[in-house]
Amino acid sequence: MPKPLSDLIAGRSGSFGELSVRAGISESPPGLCLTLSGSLDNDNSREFRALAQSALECVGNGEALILDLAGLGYVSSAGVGALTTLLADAKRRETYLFLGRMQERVKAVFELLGFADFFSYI
Amino acid sequence: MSGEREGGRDVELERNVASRTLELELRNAFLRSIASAQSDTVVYTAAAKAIGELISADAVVIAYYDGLSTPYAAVYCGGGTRIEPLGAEDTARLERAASERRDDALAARDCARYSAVFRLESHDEVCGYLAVGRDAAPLGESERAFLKKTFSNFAHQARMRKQYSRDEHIRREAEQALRKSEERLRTFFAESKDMIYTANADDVIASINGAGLKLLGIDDRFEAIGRPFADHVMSPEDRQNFLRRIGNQGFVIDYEYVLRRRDGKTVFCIESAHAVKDAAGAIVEIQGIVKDISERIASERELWKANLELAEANENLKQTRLIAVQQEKLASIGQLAAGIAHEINNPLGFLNSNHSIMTAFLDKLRAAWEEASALCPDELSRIADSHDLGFVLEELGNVVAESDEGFRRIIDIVQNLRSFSRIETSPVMSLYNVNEGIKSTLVVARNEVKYVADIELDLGDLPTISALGGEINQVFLNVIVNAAHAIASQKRKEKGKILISSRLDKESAIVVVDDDGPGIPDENKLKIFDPFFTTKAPGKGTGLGLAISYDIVVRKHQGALSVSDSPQGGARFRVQLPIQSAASEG
Repeated sequence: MPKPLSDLIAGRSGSFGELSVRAGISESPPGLCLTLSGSLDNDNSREFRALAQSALECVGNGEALILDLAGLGYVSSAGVGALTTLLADAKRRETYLFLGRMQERVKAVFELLGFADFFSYI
Repeated sequence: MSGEREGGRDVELERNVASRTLELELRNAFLRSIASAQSDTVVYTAAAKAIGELISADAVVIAYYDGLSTPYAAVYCGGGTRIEPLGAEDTARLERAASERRDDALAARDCARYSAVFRLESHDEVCGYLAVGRDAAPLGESERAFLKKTFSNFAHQARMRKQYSRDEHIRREAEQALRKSEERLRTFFAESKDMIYTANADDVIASINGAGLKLLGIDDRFEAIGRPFADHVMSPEDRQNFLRRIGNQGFVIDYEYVLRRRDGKTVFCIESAHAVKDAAGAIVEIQGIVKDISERIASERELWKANLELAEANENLKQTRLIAVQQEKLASIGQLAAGIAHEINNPLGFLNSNHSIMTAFLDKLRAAWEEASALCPDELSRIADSHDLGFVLEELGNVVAESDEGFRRIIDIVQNLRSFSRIETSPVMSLYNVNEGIKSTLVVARNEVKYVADIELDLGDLPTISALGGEINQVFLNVIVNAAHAIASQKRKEKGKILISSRLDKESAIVVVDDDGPGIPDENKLKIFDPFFTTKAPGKGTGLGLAISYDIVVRKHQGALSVSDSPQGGARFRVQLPIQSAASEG
């Protein structure tokens, strides 16, 4: 019997150096939402990926993992790498991964690396 | 010695004057030598010569220590001077002689018959030794006292000289080390393959090396110096973030950002830097090393991309497999259907033909019977009554009509089987207006829909597509009629709703048909495109409509047909048709 999302988001928030992550439930689209703020870089990409991976495992069929990036002001290539790896994991699990409210300068790094078109945005 | 006079001269006075003069001369010589940075060699050989000449010595040796405390001997002998290194044994002999105070204990460098050795001491530190040798006569007490007195002051000079030499040595070594260090730093700065720069507290570049200029795509150093570093960063906010970190921590390690070169090209870089702060903790300078990591990023990017593409390929493979399985089912059933259709079609042809002839013949018989009845009404009425011909003739019409309906249904089924198994000649792709196709289909479907549901249209602008128009219309008809039948199956009082929308999505036309009927259970969604799968009552459906639709959309048009739950509460059918479709009849 799968646990409800509300039970699973506990412990999926955290602070890793310059990055803080807050987990919550998304109504539309239905699923789990991770709200990122600060910087996603070499110092914290590994911890973020582990957290996001565990969040991905909580997302059920027909549900999505949404990353709210409105508060993310800086992303390095390591951060983009962590997100692309997460996207690949999501595809393998046949789970939707959406990026939301991405800042322009962060999107510029995605575009420069050629990964902007791989992601779905809401 | 006081009062000693020789030929009217006061010898002691003269000696004192000479001693004092020598002492002052030596002191002056030492001071001059220090002021003019003369070497130990010059100073001590001059002193040895002056002493030798003053007391008519055959040999004078001044043992001294240089700045590294290495003992040397300044030798005056035979009118000339020289410098010799002294070994540990030599200094030990001098020390012993000075302690024992034996005139013959040590001939000065073994070149004189009589000798005397004095230890030069100052502040409890042995600064050297003075050895005096003379062949003519041993040193008298007065001469010894003179030398001792003179050189007790000389010891101070020697000590000062030693300290000076030591300081000089340290200074020279420090200067040399500094020169080497500066040279190393200069080489490191100039020859580094990475950018090295300094910036002031406002992040304005103060210095930058050649690699930095190359990285920025600038030829003239002064086009970089004096300008904010942020001018060269793609996102100035990234530089602000860097400055915030270095302000908080005093250093930054491997901070990544994108530089924009003068030619507009971008370069991925990492920087490690630290801040030089004043006593109050305010930044006065930023010193940083910036490395171009474009190659590393490119290889990592390829890795990430390959990982993503692999995941997508897996996803596509699963989809392709599902489609392949579906098509395989269709192909198998198609072959079976083709055979059955072929076998049924011929007898059906002559049965239908004979049925038509029989109907015509029955009409003729009925007409003949009516003509004959008019001629012999009584007799034929009796015959008709005895055989119940009134009822027979009346029911014969119903039987024929029912047979007509039966033949029509069999013909429809065979027609569907033939269509499904592609027995018909392949039609040719032509320009097709999707929205017009939907509207014309609705005219055909009107009778099936009008009593059970209202239709709402939300048709977007679509270009004409390349398609088999008649077959696409058949798809729309199947989907719309299915929606109407689903709503009707609920037997509700009010009419339902069917929403048909169309829109353009990249290179495809998308048509979505939503209904507010009962929806499709998950377990049926996987089977709904299977041939002969139907949930309708027997006789209401062949189970081929959606299978044929799937074949038309997916195989013939390289499109997609899917079913899901509708936000309206019922089922949603989504038809995706490529705008440029390649006809495929494989």
